[in-house]
Amino acid sequence: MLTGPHLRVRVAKKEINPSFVKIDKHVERAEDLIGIYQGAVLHEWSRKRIDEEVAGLIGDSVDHKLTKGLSKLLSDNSDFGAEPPVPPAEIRRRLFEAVGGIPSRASAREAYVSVGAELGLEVSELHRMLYADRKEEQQITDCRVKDSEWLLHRYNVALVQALLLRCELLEVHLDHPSSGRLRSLFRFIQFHGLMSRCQATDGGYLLTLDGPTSLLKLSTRYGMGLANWFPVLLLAEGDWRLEATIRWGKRGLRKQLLLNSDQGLQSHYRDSGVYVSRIESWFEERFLALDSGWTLRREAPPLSLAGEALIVPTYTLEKEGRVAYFDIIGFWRKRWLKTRLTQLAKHGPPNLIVAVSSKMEGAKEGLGKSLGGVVSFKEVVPAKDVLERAEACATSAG
Amino acid sequence: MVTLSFHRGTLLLEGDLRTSANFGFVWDDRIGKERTEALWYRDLLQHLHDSGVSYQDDSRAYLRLPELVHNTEKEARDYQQEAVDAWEAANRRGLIVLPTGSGKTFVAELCIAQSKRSTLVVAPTIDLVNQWHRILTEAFGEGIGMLGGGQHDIQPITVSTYDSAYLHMDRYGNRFGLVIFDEVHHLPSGAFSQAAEMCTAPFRLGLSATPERTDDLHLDLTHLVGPEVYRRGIKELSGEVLADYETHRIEIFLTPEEAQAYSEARGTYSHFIGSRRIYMGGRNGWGRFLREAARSKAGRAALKAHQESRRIMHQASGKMDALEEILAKHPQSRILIFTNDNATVYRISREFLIPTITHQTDAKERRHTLEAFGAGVYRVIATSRVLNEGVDMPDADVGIVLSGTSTVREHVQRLGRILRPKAGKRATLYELIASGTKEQDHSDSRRDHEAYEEESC
Repeated sequence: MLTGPHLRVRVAKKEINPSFVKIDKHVERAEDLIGIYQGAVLHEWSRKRIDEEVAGLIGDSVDHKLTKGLSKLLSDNSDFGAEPPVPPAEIRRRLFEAVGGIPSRASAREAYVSVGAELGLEVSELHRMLYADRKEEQQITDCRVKDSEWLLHRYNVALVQALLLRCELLEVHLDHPSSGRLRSLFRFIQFHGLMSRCQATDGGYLLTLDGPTSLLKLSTRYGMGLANWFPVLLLAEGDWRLEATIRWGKRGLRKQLLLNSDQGLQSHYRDSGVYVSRIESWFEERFLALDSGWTLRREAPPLSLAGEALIVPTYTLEKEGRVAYFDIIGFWRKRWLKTRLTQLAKHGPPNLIVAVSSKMEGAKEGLGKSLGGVVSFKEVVPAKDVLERAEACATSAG
Repeated sequence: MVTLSFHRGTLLLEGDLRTSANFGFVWDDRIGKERTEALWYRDLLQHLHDSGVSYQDDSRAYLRLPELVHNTEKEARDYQQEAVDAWEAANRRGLIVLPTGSGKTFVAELCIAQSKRSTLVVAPTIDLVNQWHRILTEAFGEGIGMLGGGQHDIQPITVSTYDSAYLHMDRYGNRFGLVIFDEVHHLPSGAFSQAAEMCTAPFRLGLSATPERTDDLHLDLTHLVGPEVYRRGIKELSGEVLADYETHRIEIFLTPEEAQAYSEARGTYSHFIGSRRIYMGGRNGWGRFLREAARSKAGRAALKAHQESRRIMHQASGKMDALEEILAKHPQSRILIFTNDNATVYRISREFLIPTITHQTDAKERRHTLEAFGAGVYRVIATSRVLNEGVDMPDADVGIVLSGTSTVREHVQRLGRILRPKAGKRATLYELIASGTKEQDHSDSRRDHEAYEEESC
């Protein structure tokens, strides 16, 4: 994570812009730094020694912030440890006790000599080992970064994240997200302790992200959650635009951070992809084979269950202006499933059909009549049953 | 019928309160309920109770602790009992202001014992949190919880850092009937105030020797914790409880080499800020300097020069000599050395083999060092700012402030460290000032404080 001293931004009257690096322009600097860290692992250097080497690379140059920032990210992706053979705390205890009484420089010199003799160590070695466990004296044991482009992409995203730490409100316009993507965005919103509003707009959705207390008093409390959520957004296919309110500087002036999907930012989170289960693909095959006149789309709006939860159904079914939603509930833990089913029974919209595997314990209990219907399945979701319910419960679109 | 529930640091309301007072409620369209800060819990319940509106309180998760026993042999001093009574009279909400070393912790113990509710104690540093944990374990038995410093253990009585309280109050804000803020002047700073806002605790206690803040934010404490209910000053208690003390200010002259290096470094720095028309006394002087410094070679050189001048000032070789002389003058004493920065602490430690406590010292070694100091095996400890606030130290009677650009508060707290009541004790504080440097200005300004009114040197 980058912090204040590493931040490179351009601040205007209303806006704040991260100074993104051009990847091809800085490959050399990134490679030099990776070289220092990989070499450091071989030479068992301390943090302090690495910092000195990095300082040497910087020299008097004015872009020291970039180099220090890259170095910080390298250090975050490295392991440090490896202590000297005699624990430094032990060496300290022996030396401090050897002095006895009120210390002077002369008594200290004598203590170094006598403890050195006891441990079979030179005075200079004692000197070096005395505080070898301090953070800056710790030795590097591994550095996981090998690719300079990865490092530079990581840097650009880290710049945004550092600003989002000071964010009090974030809005994202999503252009035609698939239901799978929306679902993963929402899952991570919850995971990072955030709350969202979601409005349908022309051709997409407007997501507003903050937290429970934000409507009482805007604060940067949820900045960490927003910073951690941001790389999830970068995984989304399709276009997006982001507008974040950042509290800048000591006086916390409000500045706008504007970003979009054309800036080439690349997530360092692993893209787990949109998982299309066998259950879903089997269902789709059978549904199409029925040739019923209903269309099936893997896209659906988020539906609020009276504020208690937000769900994005797997499918939208449409025929002659009538719409139904269909959600295949995956394999959940019993307790979660129970909560979700209760919420659906209480607050689910009338044109929502859900499919629940009969293998799941307690699957059907608690599902009421307010729903469009429940389809139970063993291996294959019966497409015919789903269509029947859709005919019965679909409502007029709009 | 009104239903109250706790949701991540806030209170949610369903139903009609039937009042014009709104207790900060705002309609939350994300969930279709009224929402307000958890802080309003007590006022809200008072209203529901008084107005006879029927209600269901799903928010309350704090406990009564009827079995709680206070194990102590100490008798409350008069002023300690007065403080507790004043807090009781204010319906267990308010600030108690007592000088460092006057037993604020014991006052808190009495308040916990009297309230018999699940309690959260919030303290600024991990040292203080450890100390509270130890003291509360002695007073109320095993099983005291801890939040912060790698611990995450919530118990009916729990101690937390301000950082962790801020981070986790949205989860645990309804679990405590009493919340105690130690060194409460930290609470109004930016984010920390949320620790008070996001918690429902109806009973609140704030402790401090110096609640006033130069930014006037201490005025928020009335809302966050309660009004000031009791205050005694350092002068009123000195001699009675606190050890008598005297201060010596020793001027250190830089060696000709140091003086030259210092003035060169200051020159480089001053020339730069002059040429950029940066006024360091101004609101944003330092920030502007850093920004300008990042933009040019001259700026980088000025920043390095500034750091160098501070190093010369803090580690002047005359100070090391003076330190040796002072140490030799007190062969029977327990001595604490305070510095402004870690580099100086480690330099002293290497040269004199004096044990250190800094923020990097782990808990085990810290404990060993303090115990050895208490037992007299170690006679001197050197520390940077970590010990500044409230951490009890065993019986030190000499303090040496080796370098410091401290505020008045920090300095009074340093004084408090060595002012431990012990019959016939007279504590001594030395302040080493590098002559002709910035340190002199800082020292002059802090002598305006009450604690320095009667100099005995």
